[in-house]
Amino acid sequence: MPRFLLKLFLFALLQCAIGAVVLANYRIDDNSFLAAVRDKHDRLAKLASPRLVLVGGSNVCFGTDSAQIEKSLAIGPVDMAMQGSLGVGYMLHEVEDEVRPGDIVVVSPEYEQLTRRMQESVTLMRLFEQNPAAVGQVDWDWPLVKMFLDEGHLCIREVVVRGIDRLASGKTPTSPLPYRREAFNEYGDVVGHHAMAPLPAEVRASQLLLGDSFDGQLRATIGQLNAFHEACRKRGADVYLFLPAIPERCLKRDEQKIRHIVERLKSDCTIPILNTPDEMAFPESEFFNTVYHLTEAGTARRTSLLVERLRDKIPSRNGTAASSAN
Amino acid sequence: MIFTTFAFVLFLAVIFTAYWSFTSFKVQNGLLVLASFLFYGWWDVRFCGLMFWAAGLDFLVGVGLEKSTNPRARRALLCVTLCANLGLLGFFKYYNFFIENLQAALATIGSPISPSTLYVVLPVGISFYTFQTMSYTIEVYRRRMHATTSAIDYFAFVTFFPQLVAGPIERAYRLLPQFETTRRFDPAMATDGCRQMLWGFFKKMAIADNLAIAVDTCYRNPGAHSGPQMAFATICFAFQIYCDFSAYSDIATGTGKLFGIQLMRNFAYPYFSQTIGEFWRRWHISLSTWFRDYVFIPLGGSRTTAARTAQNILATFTLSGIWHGASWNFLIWGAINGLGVLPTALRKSHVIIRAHDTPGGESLIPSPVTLFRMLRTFLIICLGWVFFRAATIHDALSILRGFVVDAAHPSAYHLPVTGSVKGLAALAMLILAEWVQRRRVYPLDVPNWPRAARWLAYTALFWATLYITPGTRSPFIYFQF
Repeated sequence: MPRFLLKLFLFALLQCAIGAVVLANYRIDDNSFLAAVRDKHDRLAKLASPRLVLVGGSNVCFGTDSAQIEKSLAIGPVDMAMQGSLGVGYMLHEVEDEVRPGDIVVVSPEYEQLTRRMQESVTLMRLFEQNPAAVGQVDWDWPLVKMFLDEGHLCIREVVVRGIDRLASGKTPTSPLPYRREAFNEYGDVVGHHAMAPLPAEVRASQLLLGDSFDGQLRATIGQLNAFHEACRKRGADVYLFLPAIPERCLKRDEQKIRHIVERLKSDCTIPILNTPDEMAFPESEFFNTVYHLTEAGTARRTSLLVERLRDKIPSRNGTAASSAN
Repeated sequence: MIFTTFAFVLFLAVIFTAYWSFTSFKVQNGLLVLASFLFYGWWDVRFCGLMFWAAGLDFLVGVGLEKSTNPRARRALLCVTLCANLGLLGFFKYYNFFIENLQAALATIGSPISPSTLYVVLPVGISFYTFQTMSYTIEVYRRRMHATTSAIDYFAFVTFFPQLVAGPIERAYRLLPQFETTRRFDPAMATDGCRQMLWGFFKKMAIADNLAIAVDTCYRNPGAHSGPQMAFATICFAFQIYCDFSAYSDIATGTGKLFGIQLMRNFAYPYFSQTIGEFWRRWHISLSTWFRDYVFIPLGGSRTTAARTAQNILATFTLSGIWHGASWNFLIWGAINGLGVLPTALRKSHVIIRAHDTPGGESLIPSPVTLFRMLRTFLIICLGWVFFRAATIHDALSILRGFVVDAAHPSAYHLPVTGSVKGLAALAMLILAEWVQRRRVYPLDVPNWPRAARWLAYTALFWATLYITPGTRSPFIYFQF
């Protein structure tokens, strides 16, 4: 046994030495999609209240024209949305402590975020790299710990691939557009894809991934939304839910499930809902590369609807939002 | 718990250390039972209760069979265990399939019914451990072995975590005695186990998971892909399923060796087979031999008329097909393989190549005839894989039609290799390594190489696996069965 363990130890030591070389070549990508989280937090901290804080999955940042909102509603918007696989808990917690009196928060989770645990270990690892404070903003419950135990090798793989690629090419590998920090505008909206052609319809012919049995998870997510609503209310901010835009074919296919989700939101969630699933069924041509990512035209349509629904929710005030921003 | 996870590596390190810190094999068995329930409960803790019930019943039946001398009572006990095990499988695996087909059949004759289908989660590995426990009671019934009176030893045998959810389906007379004796740590065996595990990780993570990208893209939407593209995806699937499933067996066997337990060989280079019959002696050996021993031979085997032999073969393969899943696709897949086996099985004079024989002959360069036979066998097997992988029979048939119809169109040959390039490169290496090393149980078994060369090979394989594997979570294909 000691001889076997010694051999195993020596072999492990050799791998650790190679691993150290790989790790030394690993660099955090300052131009990654998630690096934009730093810019968003900067804007959130600097922008004077009252603000319009947009929270959600990538349907929000790929579907909002904050400049149009600012112009129409005279309030300073900040688009905090990044991607669904960060989890509902994180996206609520990251703004919860930053909300101030008079702010308006619009939450737009994707249907999957409401009905499934969407988190991915590698995405969270990339987030923690960019924003170490996020470690404390994630709900470290057993399913999340278990996920990291099950997917820890994927995080190691991420480091290995990036380290070896940099070792081989001398450059830090980066993601293609629009999945880069530079694809965001100053409000936090993704605009980098506006000049790009949408993927062909047959390539993005995916559907919503709602599963068959999701009531338990939906209940848990509604609980999180209610807790968030209560926390914001105590801080003097208003919160609204805004359903995401999806292709018409997706609503048609999963209509029963979507209506069930919305009914549950209406009955159990304390946050008022600003829109309906029917209004948010957009033509296929207005989607860029997934069932949630809108083109520029789709973004304009979604934003107009949001503006229209928020118009009577925002108290009139002197001066423009732009002037209140500093 | 899935082998290719961080959790498993931690789990294995803890259990391995604890296991060898005890000298009593009873305590070691107890630890293995606890570890196995933890391993199994990692998916869903409710599954543990089911496994405990199924295994516990067979233990009690085994004791009853051992004590009883009354043939009628013994037969009744055997019936109890067979009904219980097959009932479990029937309920969890086949209930909805049966109801849906009954509904469809009655609707066509004008008597529609609307019985409720159930939302049943199929417990992982249920087909494997029920077959293993059935083998135990059948062997005790046949008086080929004595029933154990130690529940701990018995549960260690049934629940042994490396082979619990996807085999090899062990025979009680082979595995149980290993749990009934003292085990001493054998460094050579443990080293061999680590090496076999490494080879398994490479096959699964570097090859199977990469090939899955092309396969899933095409098979998810077969109508959008040309015949040659689907043919390419089918060939990729042939290697994906081989690398996936044989990797599980390699990791299971390697893990078993770390605990001083020798599991049976489950794969013996099946794609170098020259006939379909040989293929089935080299593919999923533990299941093939299970069906041979407990279905084919009791039906009369091959020591009967040619017509009866053919009937027995077809029945066995069809049952084996439906064992894989509740769908007509699997049944057809089984029947295709049964038909493929018939020509050689009915020619009783021919030389039978066994799993331990070197596949493809002894020569390093295969003769053109050997190469032709291997390719022919591979292509027939691939035809079967179309039914295995396609979502419906309609899809499978349209894919097969596409193979023929699109073959003449040069534009149809744009192959969907994107995302699978690394996997294809690793696959080429695998085929070469398997061919050169086919006399060994697995290709990484290179005891004659100098230590530096061996360590270099292990290190290269380790880092290649980590580097090539796609960044997604991919459970083993056979978990669904």
